[in-house]
Amino acid sequence: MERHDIQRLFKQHYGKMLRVARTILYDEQESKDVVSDIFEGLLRGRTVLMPDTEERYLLTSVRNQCLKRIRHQETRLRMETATAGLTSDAELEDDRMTDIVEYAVSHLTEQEQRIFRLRFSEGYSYEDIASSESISRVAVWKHLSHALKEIKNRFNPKGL
Amino acid sequence: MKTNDHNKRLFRSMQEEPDKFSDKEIEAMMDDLDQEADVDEAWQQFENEESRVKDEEFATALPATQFHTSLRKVAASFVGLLMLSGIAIAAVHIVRHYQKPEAPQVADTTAVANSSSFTLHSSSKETAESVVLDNVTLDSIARDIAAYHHLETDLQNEQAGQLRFYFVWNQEESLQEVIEKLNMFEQVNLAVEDHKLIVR
Repeated sequence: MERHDIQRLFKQHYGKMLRVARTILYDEQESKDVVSDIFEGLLRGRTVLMPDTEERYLLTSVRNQCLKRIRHQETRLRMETATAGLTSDAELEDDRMTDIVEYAVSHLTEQEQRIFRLRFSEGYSYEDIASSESISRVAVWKHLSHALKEIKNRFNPKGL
Repeated sequence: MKTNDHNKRLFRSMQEEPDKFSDKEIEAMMDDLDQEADVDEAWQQFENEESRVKDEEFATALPATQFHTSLRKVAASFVGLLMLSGIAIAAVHIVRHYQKPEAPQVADTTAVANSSSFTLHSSSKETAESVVLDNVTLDSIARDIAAYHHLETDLQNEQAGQLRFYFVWNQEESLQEVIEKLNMFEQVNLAVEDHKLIVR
C-alpha cells in the first residue's frame, strides 16, 4: 500500500489497535511492536484493505499476533525444541489462530461473545462496553478475562 | 502504562482470578489499559524506523524493492509498446496517404513494432490477446489474472506460489477457462471464492 494510505490508517486506528494489544500482552513496548509490525507488513506487502473492513482486519491482525506471541511464550516454556518445525508457516498459523479463537468464542455465552467482539473486533474501551451492555466495568473485565482464559486453554486443551 | 514484572504478574493473576481483587484494583488496571496513545509520536517513530530500514534495503536490494522496479519496467515497456504502435499507425497513415500501394510498408512497420516490444519485455511478451508468461511465479501469474478480472488474490499456499511456470494466458478466455488450464499443472490449485482468486 502507498505511504499516505498507511499514514491515514495509522492515525485512524493506532489507538484502538494498541488498546487491543495491551489487553492481551500487558506490555507497552511489545504492544507497540506488534502494531508497528502490522503496518510495516502493509507497507511492504500487497494486501489492499477495503474501507468498510479495514478496522476489523487491523484489529483481528493485532489480536492474532498477540495471541501467537503468548502461545509461543507458553509453548517455549513447555517444550523448547519441538515448536520450531510446527510454526514455520506464518500465514497458516494465522488461519489456525483465527480458527482457535472462533471455536473458543463460539462456546462462550452470547453476552460474552458480544463483549469479546466489542473489545477485540471493534476496539471499544471498557467504559463503552460497560455502557452498551448496561453492566459495570468490572463485570466487563471478568467476562473478558473468562473469554481469554478459554482461548488460551484451546492452545493446549489438555493443559500439558 | 507502566509495565514492569510486578505489574505484569498482577495483570496475569487479575485475568486468571479476578475475584481475588477488589473492584478498585481492577478499575485502576482498566484505566491503565485504556490510556490514550500518543498517535503522532508513534507515527513519527514508525516513520523513522521505516526510513532507517529503507536505507539498509537500498544497500542489500531486497525482493520487495525488486518487485517495484520490475513493476516499473513492465509499465515502461507498456508505454514503449503503446508509443511504437502509435508510430506504426501514424506511419501507415502517412504511407497510405502519400503512396497508392500500401501493403509492404504496413507489414514492415508493424514488424518493427513487434520486434522492439519483444526486446522491451524481460519475461513476458504479448500478442493481441494472449500473454506469454515465461518462468513466472504462480503468485504473480495469479495476481496478474486476478487484477485483469478485478479480483483480489489470496495466497494460501506460499510454496505453490513460488513455483515457476511457462504459461500462455489467452485473455479472451473466461476466468474459469484460464483457471481450468492452470489447474492442469500438478501442484496448482486455484479457485475463485467471493471475489478472491485463491492459491491453495
